[in-house]
Amino acid sequence: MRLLIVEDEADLLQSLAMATRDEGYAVDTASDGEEGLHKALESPYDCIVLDVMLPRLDGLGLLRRLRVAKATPVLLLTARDATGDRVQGLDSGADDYLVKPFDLGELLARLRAVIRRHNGQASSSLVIGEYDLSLPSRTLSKGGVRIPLTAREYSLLEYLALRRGSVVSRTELYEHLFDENDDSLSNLLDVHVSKLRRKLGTDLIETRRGMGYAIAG
Amino acid sequence: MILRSLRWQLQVWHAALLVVVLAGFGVTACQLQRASRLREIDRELDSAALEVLRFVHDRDPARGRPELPPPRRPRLGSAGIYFAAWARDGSEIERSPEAPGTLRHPGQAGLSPDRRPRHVTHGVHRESWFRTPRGDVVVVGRSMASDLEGFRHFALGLAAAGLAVLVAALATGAALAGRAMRPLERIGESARRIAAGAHSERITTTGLPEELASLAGLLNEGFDQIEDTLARQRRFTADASHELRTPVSVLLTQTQATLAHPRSEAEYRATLEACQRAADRMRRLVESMLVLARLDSGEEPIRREPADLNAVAAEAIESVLPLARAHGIPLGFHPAPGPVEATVDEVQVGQVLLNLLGNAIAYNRAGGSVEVTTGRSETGLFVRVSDTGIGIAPDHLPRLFDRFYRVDGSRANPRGHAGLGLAISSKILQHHGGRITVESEPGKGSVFTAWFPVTAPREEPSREDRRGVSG
Repeated sequence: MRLLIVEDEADLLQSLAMATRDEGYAVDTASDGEEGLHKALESPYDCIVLDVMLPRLDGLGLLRRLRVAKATPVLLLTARDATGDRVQGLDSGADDYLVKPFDLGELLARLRAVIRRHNGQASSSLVIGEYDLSLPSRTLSKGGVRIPLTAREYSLLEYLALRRGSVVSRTELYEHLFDENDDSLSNLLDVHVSKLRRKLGTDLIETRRGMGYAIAG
Repeated sequence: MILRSLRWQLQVWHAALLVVVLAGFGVTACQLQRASRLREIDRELDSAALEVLRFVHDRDPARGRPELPPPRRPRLGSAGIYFAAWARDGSEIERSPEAPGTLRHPGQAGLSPDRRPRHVTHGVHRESWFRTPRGDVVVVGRSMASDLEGFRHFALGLAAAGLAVLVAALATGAALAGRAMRPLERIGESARRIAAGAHSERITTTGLPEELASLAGLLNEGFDQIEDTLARQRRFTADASHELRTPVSVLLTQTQATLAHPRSEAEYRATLEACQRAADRMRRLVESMLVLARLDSGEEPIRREPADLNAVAAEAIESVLPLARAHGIPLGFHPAPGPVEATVDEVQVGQVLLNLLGNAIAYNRAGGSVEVTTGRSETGLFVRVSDTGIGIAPDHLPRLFDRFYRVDGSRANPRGHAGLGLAISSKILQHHGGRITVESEPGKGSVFTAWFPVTAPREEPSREDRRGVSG
């Protein structure tokens, strides 16, 4: 999952990036509204964490201009907690909002929920064949026994699982699993897929030649 | 309690006045009625007396007409009238059987000196006394018991009617007083609701009598001021808590994110530094708010002494020289010739100049400069700080000195201030009897001027000054 965090307070931006990277997200950052809009239009993000008060272009302005082109989920961070401000935020096209100061755990939970809902998934755990995928704990288990996965392997599996039944191209996978500063070679994907297959069996992730990968729906 | 009510006072006065008028009217009516009834009785007695007088005249033996039958005795008993007659020598000539036993010859003193009848009231009896030309005395009288009874009925009827009028008038009066009071009550209700929290409600002045409308207008003005003050207080509190949200967010996310996993020493250090920055920002915010609150309440001591604005400006410039060098901004100083004497609190004015200079450096552009000028003009003494920076758009200028106002929507301004610096500066100048003005052109730079009165201001003495005077 790839995130964009737009926040002008450097220390807040840094800690949010650190916390979300720890959770296995690929994270890009922007420290003003114009940079944020540019990146949001440029790259396919799974969610954008957007501060309302930003220099150059404020969060709501960014959101309105983004919505003309894209439906990327947006989680607003606002220092204003008046109902009118929240209504305005949601009406401008935000998917959820959090009032500062917030609890990091809540932010991460809301991020998961926004991304899950955006992919049409109501429940926070998925059953894939004989495996259980738990989104909150980022774990995969089989018959109650946890299967150890690396962060990258989990992210790959989660991305495919949330789009069960549809084919995900290698480019899309690459764009959503690596952030802008990550210059890993795209064939690293194949390495992660084959490692996953070794752990979970070859049938789970199908290769559609010339199109990409898919988990059967 | 009830007598303090305007409505009841009106009612009591109204009632008292009515009672006096009605009583006067009633008493007069009774007296007139009594007098007229007495006159009627007297006329009745006088006409009845004629018969008695004729009888007395006719039976006089001295008349010498013995051939005639003796005169018929008057029959007056059926009309309830009694009579008696006495001869000149006082011997009783005649007395009707109905005459009360107490009826006696009154003696010469009890009679009128001429021939006119004398009307007398004896207890419940009314009598008419005559003296004939011969000297005989005749009295005709009757009981007034039935008349008195009628008179009592008349008086009672009058009293009952008066009472009815009084009640009706009081009821009408109460209704009128109530109607006159209703606008006052309406004003009172509005005021109560406003006091209870409906701060934006106002007393409706349309339809109010002129006197009350002007009162309501005055009250409304007062409510406007109170609401304005409350709104400003509320905004300040909201802004202040709003300003604290970001540093608190930094503290929370930094510590939570860092503590979630084991970190390297460098990472822990970075987190602590971020927390320190957030805490420092909170400290500055709290300090600024405290300064403003003290300036607002007049608790911030202002020690005004004669000072040379050139010296104050030079000291401020010296303090910001390291900052200016770090930004690569040259500072120019153009003092007015000779000392620019003003009566100021040097520390506070120094703060104002430091704030203006800090802004001028922080919002400047590469290769720009800052110039400080002091001088005197007709409007006062001034210290001017001009920069060649980014400038301020005209639509921001009117709110520039508002608390927490920022030209840029962002909260991370280059100076890490919460938007209170100019508000504090403006307030300090205000306390000195001066003001701060700004001219700016986007892209060219801004000119901030701190104005001081030529003489020490008297209109706004600070608490410190008053303390100084009282010892």
